Amino acid sequence: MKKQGYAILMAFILVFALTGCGNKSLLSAKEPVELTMWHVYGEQAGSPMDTLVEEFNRTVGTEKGVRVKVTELSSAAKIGGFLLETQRDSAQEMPDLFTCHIGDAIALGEDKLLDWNDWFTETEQSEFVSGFLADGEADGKLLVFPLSKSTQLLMLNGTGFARFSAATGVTYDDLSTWEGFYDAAGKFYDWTNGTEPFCAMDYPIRAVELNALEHGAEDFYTEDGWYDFDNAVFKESWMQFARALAQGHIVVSDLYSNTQVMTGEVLSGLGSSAAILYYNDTVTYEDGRSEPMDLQVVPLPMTAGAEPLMTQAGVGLCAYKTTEQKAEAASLFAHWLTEKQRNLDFVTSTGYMPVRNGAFDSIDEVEFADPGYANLYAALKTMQETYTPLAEVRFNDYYSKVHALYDGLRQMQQELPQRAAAGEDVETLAEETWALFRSIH
Amino acid sequence: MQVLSYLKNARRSMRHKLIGYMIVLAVLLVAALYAGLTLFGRLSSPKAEIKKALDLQMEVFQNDMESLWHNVSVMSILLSEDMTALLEDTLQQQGISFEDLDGNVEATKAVEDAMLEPLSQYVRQADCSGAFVVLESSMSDGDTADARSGLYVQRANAGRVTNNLLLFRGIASVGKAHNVMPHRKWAQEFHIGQFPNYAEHTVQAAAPIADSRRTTDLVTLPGTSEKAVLLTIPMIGADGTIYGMCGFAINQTFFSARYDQPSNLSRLTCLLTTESGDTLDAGAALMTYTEEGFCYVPPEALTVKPMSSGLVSLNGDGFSFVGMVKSLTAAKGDGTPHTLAVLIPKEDYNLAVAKNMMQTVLLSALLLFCAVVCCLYLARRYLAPVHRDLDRLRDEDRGGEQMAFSDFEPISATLLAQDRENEKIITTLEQEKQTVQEQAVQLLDKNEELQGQFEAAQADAQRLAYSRKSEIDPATYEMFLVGYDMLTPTEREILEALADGSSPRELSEQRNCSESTIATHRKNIYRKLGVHKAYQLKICIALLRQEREAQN
Repeated sequence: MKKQGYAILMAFILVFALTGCGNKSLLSAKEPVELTMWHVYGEQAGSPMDTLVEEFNRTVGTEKGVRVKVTELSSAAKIGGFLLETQRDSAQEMPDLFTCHIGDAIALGEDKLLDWNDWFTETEQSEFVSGFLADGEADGKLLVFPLSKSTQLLMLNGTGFARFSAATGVTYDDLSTWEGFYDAAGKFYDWTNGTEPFCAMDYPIRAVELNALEHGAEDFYTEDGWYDFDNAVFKESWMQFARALAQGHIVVSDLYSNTQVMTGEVLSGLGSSAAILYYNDTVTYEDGRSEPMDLQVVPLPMTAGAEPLMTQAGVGLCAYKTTEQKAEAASLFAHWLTEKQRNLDFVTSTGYMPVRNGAFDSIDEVEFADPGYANLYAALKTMQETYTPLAEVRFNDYYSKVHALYDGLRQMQQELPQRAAAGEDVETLAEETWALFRSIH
Repeated sequence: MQVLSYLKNARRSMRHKLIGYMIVLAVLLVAALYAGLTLFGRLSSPKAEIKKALDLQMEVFQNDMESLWHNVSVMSILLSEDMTALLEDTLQQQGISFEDLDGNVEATKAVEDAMLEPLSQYVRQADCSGAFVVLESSMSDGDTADARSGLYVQRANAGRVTNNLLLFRGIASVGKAHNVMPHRKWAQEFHIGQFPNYAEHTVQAAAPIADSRRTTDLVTLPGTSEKAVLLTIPMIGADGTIYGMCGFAINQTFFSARYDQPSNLSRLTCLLTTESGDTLDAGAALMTYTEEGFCYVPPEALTVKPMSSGLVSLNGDGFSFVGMVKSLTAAKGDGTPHTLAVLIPKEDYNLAVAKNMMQTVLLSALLLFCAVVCCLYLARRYLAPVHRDLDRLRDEDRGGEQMAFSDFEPISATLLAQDRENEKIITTLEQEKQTVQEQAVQLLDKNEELQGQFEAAQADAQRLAYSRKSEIDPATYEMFLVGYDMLTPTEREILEALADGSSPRELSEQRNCSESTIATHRKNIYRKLGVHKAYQLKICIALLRQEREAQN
């Protein structure tokens, strides 16, 4: 009898303790926990993300005892490198929160990162676009939580295009296909007497890929994470791009296409939808003239008659695994950040697409003060309705090769147009770019 | 009354008196410990501790800020001189005057081309996030009157050590030619409408340039959310022409990354801002934090209220802080008042105060506990045995070998010996008592016997007196009575003795005198009493005694 009573008492204590553990928060308003954060929203320009962090710190963060401190503002292309560099340098501390691609997250080590599956219930996750969640998964772990998604499209200096259109009859509709795009590029180059490329492309390889896929190219990736150069369809897609590059109709952007549009070096930029954050209201030419930008945005060109594809890019939120308290704090921040209206407000101020189911329809109700943003979301809506999204590849060391390719093309584009103008065979010049491409391993 | 009585009794109690002394001793020990801790600075008020910590933080922060502004203000003179010289050289090469630069794109491009590389070097060398040159000319066609040519070069990532620079303002192609890529919010020219008090920094400036250095309030770089404080210095030609201004920028990212503060405080914010009256504008502040910690300060005006010990409380909308403020002059000639502030959250301050108080209370309790334990230990291990030994001394065997302390053994032995001696005395006395009692019984018996004899003698005397009364002449007895009153005390004593049958010899021996003296006395007695025979005398005496007894 005595033993039974003792067992019941122990069981009661155990149940009580476990119940207490299950519900007890490790966060305390009196002893706030600090989370350092690196993100990519608004590099060089300041960011709505910083405003959100400020709001979080002021409200929920103060109430629950969490402080988020933004210590680095980088770009999606560079942040992965910075994170790896910091992880390898024991003298530096990794940020508690950061935004990056899934490839960067895998490179950091899956076991080093928080698995958001532990912090977002299935019900909560069901409210997000499943494809966006899948983009952040590796080995069954949800390492990168979607905050926003971007895609590539074409942004143009509307004032300049209006002049060009009036002079040549080229319209925005002509830019809906790759054929029309390259054709318009040639016409623009000629119209400017060979002084101004039509477009600066931030991620040309992606355009080549999508074009090839739309033309029915089979899997053109190799097992080691690069390209199958024997894939004829893929090569033809490349050559279409390369011919335009060789003749100076287009360029690979020297850093960001938006600055080249703003300086009047090019008429348009093909890049991320998030670039809209950086566009000025005016275009300033080197001779001192300036004119309104009248930013126009059109969907990414597609292959005529094919099913259009769009890239689905965008970093997500990662949390470096440290303490349970920081994990809970990171979860609190992630939940707060991805609340429906907040997420919508955030993405529509940064040029991204929302990540919650059905949220895209809500954009129709948003009144944009800036017509450029209205143009952007009109184009995005078209793409969202008619294009098929395609996630970015996640091969190891893939992006360093891509950057090497772009650097090589930037070098070549300095002289190829002159050589083409001098009468060299464009096809041969384009083959030179293909040779450059093939030389990168 | 009962209490007084208790206290009165308590005073007599060794136990209570000892407890009293112990308490006094404990209090004295605690007081001495506190006095010692206070004397050696180990015990001070929490406010003083926080003041000391914030004083130290302020000193470090102030040193950093003085070093920062000294660096950029000195560098600014060199920058101004270099940029002025480059401008004049380029104008000379172009064969134009400064006035001709306005609207001249090519000349402006040449000037910016000449300036960009040196300006970039200044950015890399100075403690700044960027450096700029604003010229009093413009390439624009005149539609924008507030446009000014110039360069603004800034670190590509102020939070990291990098030599990559960006061109925030200036001709993009010039930047690219020098590998300084355009900033994502690049613009070709400045718009002085976005520059606070532009005129004060340029056209109102005068030589010497060192006296015309100015700082701005916190400004937001156009098109970005980056906030920066600018230090400007005019560019003045040898002929007094004001070419414009140049200077350095210290933005928030650079400031917080470069000047993170070493500190033991978990949450601390250091602000460089402006103070107006009783408000401190955190929204217009450059902020930095500790190397490890972070203290969120809302970007709004905080009300400053003085506290004790030189501290101030700063209160905003839902946020309160405690800290210190000091003024700072950024550069000679700069009239813009800057304020340095170091802040910790009020809750941390309150927590520190509460913690300190708790520590004091716990320390006191610990000391008291130790004192009580010491007293109890002393009482249990020393005083209680003493008390027991004292009790044992009262026992029959005086403790004997059971005594806890050897000091009491001689006393025990002495008392034991005294006890044995006393027992002997008592035994003797009891024996004597018994003897005396026996003698008393015998004497009592004898007394009874003698009493009987006495009573018989008395009866005989009465009978005799009664029988002899008739044998003596009443006149003689009357004379006897008269003469008896005339006797001296000595004579009366001798008379009594003689009447009791003492002989003259016995009397002389008893009184230590000669028999003749006794005889003389007898003769005088007889004469005074008027008797001549001894039997007459005895009869008269017997009658006298009988009368006296009858009277009594």
